[in-house]
Amino acid sequence: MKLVRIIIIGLAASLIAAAAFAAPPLPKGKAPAFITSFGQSQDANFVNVLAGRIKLERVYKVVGETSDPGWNGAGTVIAVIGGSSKGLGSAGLNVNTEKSRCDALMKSAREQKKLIIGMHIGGESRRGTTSEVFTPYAGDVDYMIVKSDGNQDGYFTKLCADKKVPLYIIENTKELEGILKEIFGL
Amino acid sequence: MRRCAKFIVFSILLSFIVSVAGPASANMLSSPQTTRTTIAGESVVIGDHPFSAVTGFKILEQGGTAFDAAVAMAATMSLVYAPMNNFFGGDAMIIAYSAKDKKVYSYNGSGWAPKAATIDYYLEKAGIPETGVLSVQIPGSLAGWMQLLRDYGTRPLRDILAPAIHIANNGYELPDRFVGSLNTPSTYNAFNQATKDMFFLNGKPMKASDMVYNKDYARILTTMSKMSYQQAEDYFYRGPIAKRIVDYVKSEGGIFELADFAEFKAERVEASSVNYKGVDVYACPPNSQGWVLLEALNILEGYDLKAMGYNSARYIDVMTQALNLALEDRNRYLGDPRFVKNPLGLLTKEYAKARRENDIVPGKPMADELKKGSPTEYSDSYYGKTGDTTFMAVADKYGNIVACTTSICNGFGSGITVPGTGILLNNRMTYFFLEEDFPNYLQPHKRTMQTITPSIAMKDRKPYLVFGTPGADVQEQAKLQVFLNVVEWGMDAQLAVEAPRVQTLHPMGLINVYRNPVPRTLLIEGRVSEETRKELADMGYIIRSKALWEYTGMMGCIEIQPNGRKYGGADPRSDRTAIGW
Repeated sequence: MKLVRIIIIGLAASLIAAAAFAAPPLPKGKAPAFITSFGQSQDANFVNVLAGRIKLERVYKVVGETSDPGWNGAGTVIAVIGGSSKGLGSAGLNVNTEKSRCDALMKSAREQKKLIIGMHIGGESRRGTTSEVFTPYAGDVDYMIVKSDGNQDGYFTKLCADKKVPLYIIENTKELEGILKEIFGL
Repeated sequence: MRRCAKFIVFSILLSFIVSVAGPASANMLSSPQTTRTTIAGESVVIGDHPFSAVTGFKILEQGGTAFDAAVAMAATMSLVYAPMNNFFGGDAMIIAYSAKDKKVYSYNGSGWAPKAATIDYYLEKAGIPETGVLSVQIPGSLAGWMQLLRDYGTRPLRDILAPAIHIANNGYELPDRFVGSLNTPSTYNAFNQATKDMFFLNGKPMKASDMVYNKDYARILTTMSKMSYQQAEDYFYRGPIAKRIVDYVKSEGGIFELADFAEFKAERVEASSVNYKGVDVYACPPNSQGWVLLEALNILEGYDLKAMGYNSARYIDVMTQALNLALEDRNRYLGDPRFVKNPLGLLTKEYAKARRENDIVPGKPMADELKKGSPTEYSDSYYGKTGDTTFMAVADKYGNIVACTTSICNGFGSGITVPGTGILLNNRMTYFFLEEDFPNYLQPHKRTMQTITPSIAMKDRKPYLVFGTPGADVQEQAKLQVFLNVVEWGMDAQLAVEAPRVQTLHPMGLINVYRNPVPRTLLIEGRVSEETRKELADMGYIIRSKALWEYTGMMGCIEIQPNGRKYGGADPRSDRTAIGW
């Protein structure tokens, strides 16, 4: 009897633990997607590459703006978060102008009721001072996907928990292909 | 008599005033001023650093030819301009004219991707990184140089490598221009310990004029200096140097194998060319981007550029649009000929005419998405399977010419120096695409599209111009402008390289960090008039006005007169140095 109790308690504990660490259900995205960078790192290019491989209908604009032809028709925004001083310089932007652009996109996306998916996939190397300006956007999106080695300090875990944003942690960026397929029903 | 005398005096005075004031408009053509004098001689050498130019000149003075001098300069530049090229760790695209054979050849010293480099592999790594061992491709530079020497070398390696050995052992002063990079965290954070050992002192980045030594590099060169050209190449690619590189890269998580080096060979092929108003312009064929210059010239030949006025808004506009189309065609059609069918239609006059008439509207900047052309409608032939950057040029008294653009890609390349060798490795893998939509997508043992591409021009079948520059996607743009400065606007070599330049950012770049197009945007040096910049802005261009002198390439140019006299132009935007005698 004692043994049975132990087994039942153990099973219950495992179930609770599994529930606590399980990834939240993926949202249902609506194509076309509008893929853009928040911070001008190259990670947005990478997401676009994966999106191309699964033939996701999309508009890819690394310096996306609400005036872009594909913006109004997009059902889902994919904001790839990560700062790069080289990327900002190349685009003729600085952190302030980039932040203004991101704020404008977020505002318009909310007004148009678009699903906003945030991604931070650059890992630890995308947690530097330039990126820090943009990582708070993770608390403003509808769903957040983060690569685990960019979350070693638990920053995204805490932020998303505080702001009640579902957080999906991946170990490997190749997982994004399957995730995007599921989100967009491909 | 008095009336006649007055008339004569008045005429003389008038002539004097006109000659001092010059023609009506005070622009570059009528009142040319350069920051340095044009260098002239029977032989002219242009190097990225004074030491490299002196190296080339020493070899010529010892009785060597342009071929010998160029290799010597490459070995020296690997030291004195270490962050931008490496004799062993980088790539080289060489264009050469042999006075004996009267032919222009291109030597492809472009390396290739390791066999284990696949798209799937890099997708698991979240893309091709900008630095580190996974950014490195098998370097091709040494193979290119040794192929050139096997064909045309006249001096033993003992003589050719002596200057570089001396500098490596005795040191050189760190050039000012690299100090900024050394103090940038995003640069030095990528360094491995061996790179820091070379460029840091007591744990801190070196200052300008601190002495830099590379005795490991000197040792390798000294060993090679006792070998034949083939033996030296084998020592690197099929011997202990390749083994050291492979072992180190693997220990750091890289994917090199010995076979990646052992199976690698450089190629000699015929250079590609077009004729522009009587001048035959030669460029390196794919996998170099030389066709960009050739296509742009074909397009521009159909305009009356002189009527537009030098560096006027109209002139800059059509030149920009021609370059946009040529760069777009590069991205959409060109790649390693061993993997990609490069359509020769791109070089036809008919295709250029179609692009000019259908896809360029003078005075109206192009739409965000550049139009793709259809070159196969004009020729069903393809270019046959073959045959962080510096530029050098040598024109010797025998009539030989060698020009080379050699590079480790970004400044300081991968940041990785192989311990015990002094070899700073490239980060050229960053040029590959991971999308199969583009011909330059990553495949094992594929050579990436290269932005490095020197050029030679011939007139009446005689050498006329040699020109080139580092600068990635700006290379063909700067070369086009300097070429037109000489051929259309009659500038001498020095004035041509100093004249203000513009750069279009519209087309997609090759380096992944700077790949994203910035539509309708022009970088314009501040010496282009305010009025012209305003006119371009009114057309719809986004103008990024730059400083009076800004990085729009660091050109070198040698003009060869029909009597054989040579005139060298060295770009003051860099440490470029010309020597002539």
